[in-house]
Amino acid sequence: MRLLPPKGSLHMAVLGAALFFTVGSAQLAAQNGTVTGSVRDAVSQAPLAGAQISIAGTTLGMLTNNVGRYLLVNVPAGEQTVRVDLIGYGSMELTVTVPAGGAATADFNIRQDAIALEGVVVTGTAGQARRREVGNSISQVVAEDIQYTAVTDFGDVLQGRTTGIQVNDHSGQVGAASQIRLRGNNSLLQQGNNPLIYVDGVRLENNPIGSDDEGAQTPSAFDMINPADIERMEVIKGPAATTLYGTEASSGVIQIFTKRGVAGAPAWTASVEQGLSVMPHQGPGADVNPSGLFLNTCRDPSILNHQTGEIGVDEPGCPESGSWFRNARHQVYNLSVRGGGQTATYFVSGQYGDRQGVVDPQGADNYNVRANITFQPAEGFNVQLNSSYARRNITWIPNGNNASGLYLNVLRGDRGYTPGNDDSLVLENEILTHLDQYVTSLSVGWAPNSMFSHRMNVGLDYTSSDFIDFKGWGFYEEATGDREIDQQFDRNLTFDYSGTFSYSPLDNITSDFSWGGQVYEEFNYTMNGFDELFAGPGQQVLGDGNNPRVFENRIIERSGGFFVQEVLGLNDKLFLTGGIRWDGFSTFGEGFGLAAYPKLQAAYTISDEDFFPFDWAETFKLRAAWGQSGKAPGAFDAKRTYEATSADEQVPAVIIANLGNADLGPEISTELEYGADASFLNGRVIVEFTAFDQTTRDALICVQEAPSGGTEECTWRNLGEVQNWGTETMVNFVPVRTDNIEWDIGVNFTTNDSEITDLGPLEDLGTSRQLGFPLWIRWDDTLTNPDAIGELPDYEKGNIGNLFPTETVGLNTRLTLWRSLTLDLVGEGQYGMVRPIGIAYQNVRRRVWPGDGCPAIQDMYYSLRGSGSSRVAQMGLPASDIARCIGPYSDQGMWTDLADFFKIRSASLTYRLPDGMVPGARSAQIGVAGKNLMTWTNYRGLDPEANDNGFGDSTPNEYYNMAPPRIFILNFSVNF
Amino acid sequence: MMKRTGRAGIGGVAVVLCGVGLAGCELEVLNPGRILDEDLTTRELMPILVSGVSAEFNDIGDFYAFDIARLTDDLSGTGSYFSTGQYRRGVFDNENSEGHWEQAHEAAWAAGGAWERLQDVLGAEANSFDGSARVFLLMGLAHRMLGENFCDLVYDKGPLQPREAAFDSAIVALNQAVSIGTAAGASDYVTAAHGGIAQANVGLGNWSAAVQSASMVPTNFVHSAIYHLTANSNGVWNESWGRAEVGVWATPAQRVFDGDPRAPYTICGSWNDPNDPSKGVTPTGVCTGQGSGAHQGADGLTAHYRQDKYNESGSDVPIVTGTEMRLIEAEAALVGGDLATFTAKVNEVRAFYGAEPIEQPAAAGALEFPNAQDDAWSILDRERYLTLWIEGRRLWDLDRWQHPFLQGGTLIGPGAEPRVSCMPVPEIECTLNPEIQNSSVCT
Repeated sequence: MRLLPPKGSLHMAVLGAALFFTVGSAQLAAQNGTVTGSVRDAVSQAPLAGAQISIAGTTLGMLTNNVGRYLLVNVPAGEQTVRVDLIGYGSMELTVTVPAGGAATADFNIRQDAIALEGVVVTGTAGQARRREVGNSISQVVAEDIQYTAVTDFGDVLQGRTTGIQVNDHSGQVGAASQIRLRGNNSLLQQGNNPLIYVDGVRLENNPIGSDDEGAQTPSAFDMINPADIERMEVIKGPAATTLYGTEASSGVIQIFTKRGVAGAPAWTASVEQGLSVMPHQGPGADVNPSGLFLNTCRDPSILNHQTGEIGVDEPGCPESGSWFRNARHQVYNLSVRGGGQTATYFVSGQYGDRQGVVDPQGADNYNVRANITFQPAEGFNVQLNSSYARRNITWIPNGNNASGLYLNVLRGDRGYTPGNDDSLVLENEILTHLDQYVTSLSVGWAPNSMFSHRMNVGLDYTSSDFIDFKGWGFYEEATGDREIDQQFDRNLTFDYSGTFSYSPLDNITSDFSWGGQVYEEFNYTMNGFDELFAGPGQQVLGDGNNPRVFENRIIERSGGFFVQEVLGLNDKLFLTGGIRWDGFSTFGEGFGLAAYPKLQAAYTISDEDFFPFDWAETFKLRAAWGQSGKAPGAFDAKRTYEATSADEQVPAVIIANLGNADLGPEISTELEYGADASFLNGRVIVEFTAFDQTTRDALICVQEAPSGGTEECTWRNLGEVQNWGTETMVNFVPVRTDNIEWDIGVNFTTNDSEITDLGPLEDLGTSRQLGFPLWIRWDDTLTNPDAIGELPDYEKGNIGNLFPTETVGLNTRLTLWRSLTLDLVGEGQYGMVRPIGIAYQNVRRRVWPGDGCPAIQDMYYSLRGSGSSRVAQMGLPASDIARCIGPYSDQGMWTDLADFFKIRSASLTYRLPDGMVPGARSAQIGVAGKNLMTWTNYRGLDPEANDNGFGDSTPNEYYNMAPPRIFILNFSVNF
Repeated sequence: MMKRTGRAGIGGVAVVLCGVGLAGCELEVLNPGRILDEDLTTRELMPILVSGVSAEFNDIGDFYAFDIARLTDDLSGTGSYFSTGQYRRGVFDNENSEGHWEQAHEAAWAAGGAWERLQDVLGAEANSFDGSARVFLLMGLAHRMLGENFCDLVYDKGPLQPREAAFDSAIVALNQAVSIGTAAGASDYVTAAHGGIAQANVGLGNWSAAVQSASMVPTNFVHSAIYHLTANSNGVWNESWGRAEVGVWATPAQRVFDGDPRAPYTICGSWNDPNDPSKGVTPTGVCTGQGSGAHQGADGLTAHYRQDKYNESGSDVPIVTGTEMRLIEAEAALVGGDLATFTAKVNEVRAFYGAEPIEQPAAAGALEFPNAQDDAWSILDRERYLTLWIEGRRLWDLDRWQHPFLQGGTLIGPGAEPRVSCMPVPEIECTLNPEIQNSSVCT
């Protein structure tokens, strides 16, 4: 591994740059000429900054500037070969004739490498490494993908583009975070399967931020990132790759790199985005459900008042438009500038966004600013300072499993809880989240010579959330009102250092020995306040009521780890890596000590060998990786603690909170992954395949003693074991590649399965985690006599299915015509999971579910007299009909559906306007995009991805929460 | 060149060591709010420790009252909880009993732990500390609740025992409460302990001992599990005033014993067509105010008849009452064939609640469902139903009397035959206690 270009090339770059900024030596110009031009991506025509330009046979060279342009001066007159090299792209040469005293032009359109073996990655490696050296798979998403995707939040960027990543939109409420899983689940902990997320080396809070009370959804820290700031993302998915991140990294790592400055005059980019969110018909088909569960239409001739039997009665509280939905507008404005000189560059950006939700007054606005500065104070030094501030204000509607929620009351028609069925009253419940996030990092790289390199990174993520749930005086449910405030502050401090010593003991052998360490501190401060019984309207803040309460919590957790790693390279083809990381963590038991996580990797580019027999395969890399990483216990799991509470007439009291376990350590996930990367037919076919097999041992489970022994409190122990395995296959195919047409088709297919193989003395950890079954299942009643005529339903408990998909298919295609018109389509299918349809189950019990033939069956049942069993006998229907539709006998197990789906995640059409069309602009483009345009599913609920429990929960359940709407976006951007 | 390289390497290692050292110095979870084991060693904290035992016990009172009310038709389930319909039909399995089992055991265990710490910290003074008396009182009452409600008992991860073992444990603890309470001058705890001993002796069938202890408790005495607006609100209130999960509609309190002052309720919603529940409910308008406005059950169908016995979130749940003691005396008299004493004791109770006295019944008779109120057993059944209404005691009466309600039960709708009359040892105990894994209750 080499951290810097060869010294000669560095000098060449500096020289070229110096010349670039001192253009116009008249004497030289008279004898020689200049070569100028641009370097662009051959498909997207995006200018490529930082490409190395050189003149063959000379020392002349330079890097392209921030708009992809270069100017080489003092080039000897005559025929010259101009060469361009850029990591991740193929090289290209053009021959030009340089006139004495004149200028020649060489414009390059270069293509990305099919498999960028020379591309540098940094995630999961010590320092940085070329792809050819890395034994694990790494997925990348680059800015170009983001540019063509209908993006409304961070999660959209990852959907459907690559393997092993599952991103689900749980709600249509703007501001609700998506749930992200990498290679499924490997931890028994409810929130133990969220990947770690880093931005420019700073670890972000990866758990839900703030409260989900009333709105039933939570925002996330990573949704605060402006997608337009992202240069690229690297995703490593399992312990084999995340070893050097140590404890807490076993569910994978996503690292986000934001854009940096490039030398050159200021290059501005401005964009305007206008969008519209539209909710399609909700629930069963319009033939039996013309009102869309009273949501799409609440003033319709078909609406039945169940109590009076009248038809065509308006739903009280129905908005003036006649629908609870509106066509919701959104607008987003971005402005950024990048530039700088040879020693310092900058990237500065800002965004303002305002997105309405489809139900008034739901929505969110945001403000983002970022300044990334890079400078080289001396030779061998590289300093990067990245800072961003983001603010987001979210207005929620009350929803989900909430007696005063909108959906719960609207969908139940006149059988909800609102007085007089006036469901608009629930919207007087004000629910707000104000988020502030400040992320800054200082990264210093120092390469004193070609053998040593060091990089130190210090970063801070400071996120605060102010959640307000206010039911004012006079609110229908709490006449004297109540107010809840949840304030949360998360401060994550990251300190990293790594060093590498590189040398070649033999001509064909290279060695890179790395060492380093990391210190991480997480400070979490929450203040929860509540008051009620307000005297009247007017000031109604905490303290104005008659029952103020406040709860405070402050926790600091710290971890420290260090590692060593050795990479041996043979002929730049075979690379063997060994490493180990040791971690101490404040939540480990006092008797535990340090956790050790080893790793071994091999990467072999066999296609570079002379004996490789397949000429048609230009690249064929075999790789294998084995490694471990962990998951830390919770803050006080290892300690015996008591909880302060109050008893009786509010006197202080203490009760046991946790029994403690001094030997408690992390759960440790071990993974073997292996696979191959290959490209064929001049890079027109790329295949990547990975198989992985994870075993999580010492899994953290809270084990209760037999309750007769005393306490019902459990003790956290390292007793569980989970296995998790699967495959990831990606095929990219370019069926058409001409000067004017480029058509790219990508298919990725992921399989994932798991089994809980040990729970210590337990057989289950609640219904969703059962010994011998996959991790996170729906365990509920299933019918034993579905076809029995005239019989009451008979149930037995059993596994209905996985709650997470076992197969995921991603389809993406991009067609670019005349290098200016690009159609991009991303579809994703998830298969093999079930989801409880809480709305159907609860509405059936209230006789307001219009689908599945239930109204007729219910009418028959309730028209009969006698005991339940006699009525069922008279009906002469199979027990499955009774179980599905008759409230007293129905069961949620009957309303748990296979939730397979295929969705068009994103579709966009982008047109790059002809140069000069926009005066003063270097380039401009206009585009239209859509999100969630189509869904194919047999799921009977509102949306197969809907989840009332928010992204931190691993037991998804649809329960009166809003489905994601269709979103249409019009975008115009200009570079100048 | 090599020299420079060496310095660079040493510098890097130094940074690593510095970083690791920094982490190593303070690898503690820092939080000012947690109370550690070693913090609880001062005399001043002992009352707080005792209050903690009370907090554990209070968790049981309303929880038992709520679930047993749904199982026994003290209240009818009108809500959306998954268990509502199931309990109403009288079905309660060894998963449903989880929680009840654990909480009662934990209350007794917490009391035992508190007693050990009281002895450690207070020494001999613990034997005359009123808090010690309370600890034993709560311990004994927790055992009594286990005995009354569970079909079988297990202690300390041991083998299966008959439920009478819980009554024996209760009496041991309650006698300790009497002894220490007397020394401490804690008369209320002493009286409550006598009442608990009387209840436990009923469980053992020791009627003379029961009557002897009951006689130590005046009719107006009440010892309750304590609830508070903020500290720990009453779960039954939450489920009937805060939500409408349970109601009085179609229960014996409404259909058979309507108007008795011991079972007050308010009609929040009236049926549009009493003969056709599907025609819905109209608010009566009398249920207004915080959390009580629901006119129909949380099932969206049933008219909400709101119980008013617990009319505040801080309403306490009686655990030992003098009126129950009189009914114990009445039952003992009935068992002994003394209808005159029976009638006198019943009338003491009725007088206390402002109800009309009864005539002495002609015969002991037999239990019936629905209750015909015409003989001594039916009268006792009615009086215990009403006096102990929604106090979590009805399941025990149904079981020990083998009440005909258990054959189907409920005034409307289907019920299991037989209905459950005691809670099974929960599945979690079967899983974690090897001593009982092969016993009949676990296989």
